[in-house]
Amino acid sequence: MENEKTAVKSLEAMLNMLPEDLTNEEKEKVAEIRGMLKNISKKIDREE
Amino acid sequence: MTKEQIDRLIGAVQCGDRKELAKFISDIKLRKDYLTSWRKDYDTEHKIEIAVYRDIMAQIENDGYEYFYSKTLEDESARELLTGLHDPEKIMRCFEDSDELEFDNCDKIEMIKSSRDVGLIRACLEGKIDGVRPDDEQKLRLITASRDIAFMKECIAGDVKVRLSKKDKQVLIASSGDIEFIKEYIEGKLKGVRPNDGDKRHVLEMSGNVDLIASCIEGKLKGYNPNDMHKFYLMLPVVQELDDEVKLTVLKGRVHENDQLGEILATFSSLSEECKKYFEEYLAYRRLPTDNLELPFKILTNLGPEAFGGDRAKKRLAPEAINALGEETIYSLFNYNAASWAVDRKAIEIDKIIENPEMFHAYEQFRRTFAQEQPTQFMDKRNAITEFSKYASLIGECLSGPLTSEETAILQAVLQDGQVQINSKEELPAFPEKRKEMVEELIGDDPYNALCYLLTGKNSTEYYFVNAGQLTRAMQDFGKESADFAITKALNEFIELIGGGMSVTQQKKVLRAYNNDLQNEFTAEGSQVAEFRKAFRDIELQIRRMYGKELADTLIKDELPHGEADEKGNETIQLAGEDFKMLVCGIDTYKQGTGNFAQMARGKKYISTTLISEKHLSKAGATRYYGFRNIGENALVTESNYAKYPHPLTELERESEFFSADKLSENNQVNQVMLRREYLGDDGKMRDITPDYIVCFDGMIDDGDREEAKRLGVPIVVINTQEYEKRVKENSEEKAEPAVEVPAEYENTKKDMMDILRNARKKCTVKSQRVAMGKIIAEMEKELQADKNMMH
Repeated sequence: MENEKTAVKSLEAMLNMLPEDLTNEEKEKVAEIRGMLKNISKKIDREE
Repeated sequence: MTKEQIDRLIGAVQCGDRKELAKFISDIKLRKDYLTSWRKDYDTEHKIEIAVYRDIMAQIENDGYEYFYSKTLEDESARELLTGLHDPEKIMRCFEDSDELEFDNCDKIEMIKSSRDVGLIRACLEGKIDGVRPDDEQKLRLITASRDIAFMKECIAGDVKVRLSKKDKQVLIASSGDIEFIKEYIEGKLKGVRPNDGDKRHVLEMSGNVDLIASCIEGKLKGYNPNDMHKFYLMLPVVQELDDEVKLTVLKGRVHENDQLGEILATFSSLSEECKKYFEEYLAYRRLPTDNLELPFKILTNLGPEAFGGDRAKKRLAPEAINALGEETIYSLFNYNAASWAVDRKAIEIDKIIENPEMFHAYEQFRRTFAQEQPTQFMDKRNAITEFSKYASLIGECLSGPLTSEETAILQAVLQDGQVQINSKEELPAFPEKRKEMVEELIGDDPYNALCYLLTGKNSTEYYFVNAGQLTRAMQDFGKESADFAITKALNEFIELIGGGMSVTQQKKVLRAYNNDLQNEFTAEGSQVAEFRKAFRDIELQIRRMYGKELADTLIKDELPHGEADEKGNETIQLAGEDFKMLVCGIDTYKQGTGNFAQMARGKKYISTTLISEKHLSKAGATRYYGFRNIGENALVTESNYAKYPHPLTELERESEFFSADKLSENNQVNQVMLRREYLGDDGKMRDITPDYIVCFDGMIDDGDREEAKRLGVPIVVINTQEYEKRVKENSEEKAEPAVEVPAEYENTKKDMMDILRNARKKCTVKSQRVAMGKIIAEMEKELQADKNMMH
């Protein structure tokens, strides 16, 4: 699971590196991806 | 579809005559699966109409399209809007009511495409039309649909906010059919593209323009390098345009890839005896079983390396090469299509391996510390050969002495990356900077490719995007809700966010930030991008193999009854209701053919089959069927639950669509299962797809079937279709649920509500109406479901 954890963590970090002046639509998409990553983290925790 | 047919269809829909509708669908050979969804979900007349015409839209010509809409929609305003299909303003107004009209993204894109209006297409490409989001393929089709060369040029030059890869641009130019446009590309005059010889050749080959290709081959087209001409794939119509001398020169360079060699030879007005012998022996080689190297060696000795594409082939067959790599690897290099493609076009050299076989073996050990294991040994071997050939001096220097942990990490990254040339140990620290420069250039040329490379380490042609639907299906089919699947889903969304929707300026800003971050990979600070790249696992292969294994296992699950010799000496197996699964491949469907599998199989990379079973016998018409039950899990290329792939096939391996064996034949369509003719067996050795049976239906065995069965040494399976149809009918009657009537009041109430909302249009916004309508319908659906449950 370490590999998956790293993937989630680094994807989150890359989302944080996005500029702040995103359009509303882009912000919604970012929020959607964050939600997906959160769910993956939960899944990983459950499986551990 | 004719207007008469449309009238018939509408009549059936309006009368609610399901039998007539089903007959109509069958008569005009439409997809039938909509009937299933109709029964399940579409419980109002209006929705039935929509269900029907959504599926037939693709089959109606432009005139009929308007006629169909005008006849089917009761709503005056909708009719007015829809009859103006080519009027951009009307189309936009129509989109405002898209919820009510049940237009989804694809419907809207189709309407924009059929308008051919450059303004509308441009707005769609630039994401300026609410709720319309074309994917990359749809964007390309939209641009093509404009048929406006000036607009295409703007798109290629980057003046329109649309991301086109190098390949997209090539497709656009080649498919335009505009000779001047193609010439401008070849001459290097188009803004936004910098084609090399191979690109030019590729565009010319794709264009299929015989005159242009012939001009190039003859060295008459300005801008095309005459030294590259022998690399052309020779199509028969082009060959006919060339004189014998030119033809022979070009043919010799491409003989190893040409499956029309026999036909091409027939176009020569005269051919020397030596040439005839040369080609005849080569043709004989192509017909050989793939585990025999004797003849290639003989041809090489007698006829020279040109027979296999040049000096490189000669080196591959030299005794030193066999000593260094082993006969098995050499044989695989020759016979595995993908490998030979890579060897011949990507210039895999083995000179370095021949010079220093011990170092190559040491490298094979070293690469186990960093490379992901490939599904077969040969793939590992092939990658090792490629990497060693490219970085031989670097590897030699590094593996001959001690390495620091940082040097080891960079060396592994260099070898894994394969795109940045580092020649010595001393140059290793320069790798992050060199890679950054390369990515910076890529961001300028092809930002989408740069994005894929930054995130996955692969370029956009190497990264297989597994779509969300496929991911969900795989999770359901294999009960696999694993994190790596979900990560791929998130990654695809991430790529879509940056690569699909952002402005070019914003996109480049993001890519540069990631590129700067990646540069820190080997510093104490570290890099998040590099962390992700290391953790990234391409799950496409995993999914492909899961489905490949499921298919291979399903095929052999049920044992067939024992065969018996018939009066003419053929072993026959009678199937009259027994469970079975089998892939069948029909030959000579459309034309008089050879009736011979060995002939048909030559030179083609894929074989198209259909899965049939005790539940499903739909198949395409053919004069002979071959049956397959023993395939390896690596043979599967892609699947479709309806006949989808035309010939010739291009880029099929990037389709990545799979279904479980049960779902594949769920809708009574002729499904399609594409297999590789040559595939890597589970033991890492090459295998050929060979028929296990000749398959006949209802006792109709002809002499040709018998001869072919004897030639192949396989039994004949005879399927009694009536027995299976009877069985399917009995099963469906047993399972049929009692029909539940939809209360008439429900329909009436729903219609009344629709009327109220339509009249309310002037008083509130379309959006408010949609919200209100959605809530009301949802409540009513709940009530209806509750009523249905009570009735059960």
